[in-house]
Amino acid sequence: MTRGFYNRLAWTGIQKNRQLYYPYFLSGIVMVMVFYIFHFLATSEVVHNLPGKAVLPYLFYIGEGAVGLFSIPFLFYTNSSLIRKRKKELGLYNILGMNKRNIFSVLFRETLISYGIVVTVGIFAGFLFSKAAELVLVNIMGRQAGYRIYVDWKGAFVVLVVFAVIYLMILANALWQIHANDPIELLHSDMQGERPPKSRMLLTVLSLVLIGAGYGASAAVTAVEYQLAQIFVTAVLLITGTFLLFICAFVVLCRVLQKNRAYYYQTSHFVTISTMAYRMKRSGASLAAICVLVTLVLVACSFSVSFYAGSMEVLQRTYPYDLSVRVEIPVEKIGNELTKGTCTAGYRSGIDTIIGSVLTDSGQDAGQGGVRQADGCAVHFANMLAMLVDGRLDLARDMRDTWFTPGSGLYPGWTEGNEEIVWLHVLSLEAYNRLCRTTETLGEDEVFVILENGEYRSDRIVLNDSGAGVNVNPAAKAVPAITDVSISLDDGRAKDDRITAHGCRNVFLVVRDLYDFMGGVEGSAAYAQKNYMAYDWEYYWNLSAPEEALYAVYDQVEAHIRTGADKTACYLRLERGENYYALAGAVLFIAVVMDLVFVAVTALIMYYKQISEGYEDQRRFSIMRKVGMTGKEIRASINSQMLTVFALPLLVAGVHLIFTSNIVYMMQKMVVADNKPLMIRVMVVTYLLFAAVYSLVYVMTSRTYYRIVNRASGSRYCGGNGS
Amino acid sequence: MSILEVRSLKKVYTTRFGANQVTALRNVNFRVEEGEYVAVMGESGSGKTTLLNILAALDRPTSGAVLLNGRNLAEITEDQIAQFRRENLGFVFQDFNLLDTFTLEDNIYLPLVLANTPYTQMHEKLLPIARMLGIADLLKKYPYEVSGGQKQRAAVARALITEPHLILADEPTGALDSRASDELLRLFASVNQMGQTIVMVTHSTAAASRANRILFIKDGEVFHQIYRGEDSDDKLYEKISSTLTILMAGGGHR
Ligand SMILES: Nc1ncnc2c1ncn2[C@@H]1O[C@H](COP(=O)(O)OP(=O)(O)OP(=O)(O)O)[C@@H](O)[C@H]1O
Ligand SMILES: [Mg+2]
Repeated sequence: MTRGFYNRLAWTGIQKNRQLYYPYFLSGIVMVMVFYIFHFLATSEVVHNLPGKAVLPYLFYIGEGAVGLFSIPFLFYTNSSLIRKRKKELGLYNILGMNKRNIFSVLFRETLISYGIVVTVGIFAGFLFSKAAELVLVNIMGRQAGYRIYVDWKGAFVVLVVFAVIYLMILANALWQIHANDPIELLHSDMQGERPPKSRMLLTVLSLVLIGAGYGASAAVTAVEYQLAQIFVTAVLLITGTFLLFICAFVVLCRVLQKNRAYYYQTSHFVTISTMAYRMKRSGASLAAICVLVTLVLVACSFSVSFYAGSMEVLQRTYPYDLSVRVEIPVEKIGNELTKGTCTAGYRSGIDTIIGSVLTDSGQDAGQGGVRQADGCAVHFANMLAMLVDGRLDLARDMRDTWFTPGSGLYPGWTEGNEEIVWLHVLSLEAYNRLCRTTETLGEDEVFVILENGEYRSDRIVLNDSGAGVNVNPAAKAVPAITDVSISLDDGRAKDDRITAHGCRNVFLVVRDLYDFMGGVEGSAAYAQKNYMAYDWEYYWNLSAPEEALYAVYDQVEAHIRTGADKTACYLRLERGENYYALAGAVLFIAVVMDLVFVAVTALIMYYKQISEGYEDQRRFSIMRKVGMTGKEIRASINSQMLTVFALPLLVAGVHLIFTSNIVYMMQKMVVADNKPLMIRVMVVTYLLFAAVYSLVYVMTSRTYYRIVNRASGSRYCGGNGS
Repeated sequence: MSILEVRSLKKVYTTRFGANQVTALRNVNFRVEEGEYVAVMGESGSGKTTLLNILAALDRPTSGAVLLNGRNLAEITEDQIAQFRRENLGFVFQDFNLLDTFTLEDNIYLPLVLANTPYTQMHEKLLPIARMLGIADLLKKYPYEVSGGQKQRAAVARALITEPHLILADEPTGALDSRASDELLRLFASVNQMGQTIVMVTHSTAAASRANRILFIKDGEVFHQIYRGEDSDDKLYEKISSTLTILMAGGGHR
């Protein structure tokens, strides 16, 4: 047999099975395209000039790797549906005298053709959409982009290699499947009498136990960053449980219903229940895969959207001022510093001079964008860790005796039993009034306590082991929440200078006199030991100026404060925010692209499902008609079956989402801010949106099903709306 | 009034692209009276299955009419036909048409369930039929677990359980050994005795010799009929045999 003959055979093989082959091409093309786009973005000059240049390429490489990895099971799945359908045809070739080597060479050519089409079209589509993706990304970050269009040849090469490997694996798998069968088996492989689904009670119970355990594990997560293992376990439990649930539990349910004769032997239940058991057996794994994908999409979407939406808020809370400077004051110098400003006067005058100079400059050419207005405020804080016991602040606790160990990096969470570790900021009433522009007053031995996200419920705070303490001014509930105006919310030294909130609550304690309250130098030294206390001088500026001017001021101020010998830090909100947006924007972008891929995958699985279901049901429904079922009855039965089968993954995913929302919440709390209502809103909207997309996909793919079912029977049973 | 009347029935199959046309039935005329037991014979491909399908309204004729109880099938809607089929008609298919998702028992119940019959009543009806057909022990099995003959008997049970007025059977003994055939034919005879009308397609002379009347189909037409009259089964058997010989030899009308 000649070479041309095999080529023709391979080509007609594809043509004849185009109903299955085209979606297979499409899925490959989508994977190649996304892969190429991620690679393109990871190396794109534009991205390298975006604010988050340090982290963005890294994220895109991760995304690229994820797409590459994910396309393996995905393309295997689509290919195996194809192989199953084609076994008969290949068996026939075998019987007609082609040996297995000939068949291998036909399959090899088919794979080669598939690979060629997929990478060519995929890279081309990737090239077309890469620019669009770049523009979207740049837009998410609120930046401008150039319009230079170019092909990323290196990216294309990487695609060629990676997908060559994937398709080789697919070919090997196909050959293995063919090899494992003898020709007669191949010939009959699509018409073996199907065994009735077994009722596997034990596995069903196991599936429920696994899912329950998964939910439990998810609810127990309190600090995401230290419990990655637990989250992983949750995912494994839920995925295994979901697969078992779909494969076994619904069959068991059908079987139980069948045992109930009064229920089972009713016109509307009889056919539906017994067919359903088979359908669930056949589709269980696919439906479970859909369910897991849907859950993934929902979790990823909820998290990334709330991350992006919440980032603005975080930025504002973390850096309420345009520019802020922090200088750490050694404990022994605090007395003089508080009265005379001995440590910080130099910094202060230097900064004032710098800002003053730009102010004057701008006065002359305001058009070029100098600083138009400046507004500064300096405050002393004593920052330390403290314990809330049953909601009462206890400064007497030695924090070294608790589960908190600085630098160990392993905190199981900030709450244990009735105790909660908080990040306490003590400041004087005078500073408080200046910061909040208020005129509050405090009596002798009185304080205000202001909690982030909550109300201080006790009327006292404890100061020493004998239980002595001071009263909380009852007006504390009404004073302005300093959390809205003060810096140093999330920049505790306990965790260096990370922009992530670490989940430890901030508490502000307003006292009449900071020095007195801290017990002078002696008391301060004790706090420094017991509570990791440190004094800070913080100097805030609000500057209304264009970006370049702000950066210029920032550079000068930073250079200036570095001249001193003290531990200092300087933040520009703009600069921090850009990194932040870059991160949030990139996460959102990647999540959205991945979600689109997942949705495409879901749609494809559904499509294949509908086709194979259609062929299976064709005969069944024509028999039912012959036995005397009316078109209406058949239609009702089909519709209820199809709807149940495809609504189940969505419903189960919804339940999963509800019970795993704690993880999303904790992740949000860690990375963004504690904003449960936002998260819930995002989740609900995401779910509804996804349900709409999912239904659309269902309606579109079910047309194929109805067409197949109707074709053989000669009469129309169904058509979605029953026309 | 005849329970069934067929007037100049014609059926032409057109292949998908309209290139080939097969005339399965050319001009078929006959009637079946209430309580009759009619056998239809003819060589393979002569259009017997086609005829039965049209009688059961599973297929539409190209021209001509089928009157069931005096009503023209062409004038009844699809859903009414479905209803009629499950109330008055029992069809034994040549290829059984059992649903692989049901046990034999549930397969047999199917028409009754569609008619909303309570379980106890269905069960009472099933037992005697299953016993007579020798499938009482197989009821809990699925079609893929039983032999062709056992499937055929289940298909017969499904057709008989509704006690239909008219039974259309397409080679009901095709997959059976002679003992099982005998039992099935005895069951048909007793059912016929109770007043149910039977039209049975068969290749077996022995089976045909149990009927009251035998129709021979050739070239898409009713070629010949034999009435039992006062003949015994054996006498009838001989008559059928000789007719078949003439039929095969390609003789004309008698
Ligand atoms: N769906 C169809 N499309 C085209 N031709 C058909 C179709 N069904 C049957 N035929 C043709 O019509 C003719 C009659 O077929 P039919 O099945 O009625 O024969 P039969 O008498 O039942 O044969 P057998 O005894 O083998 O069952 C045959 O020539 C067959 O090829
Ligand atoms: Mg036939």
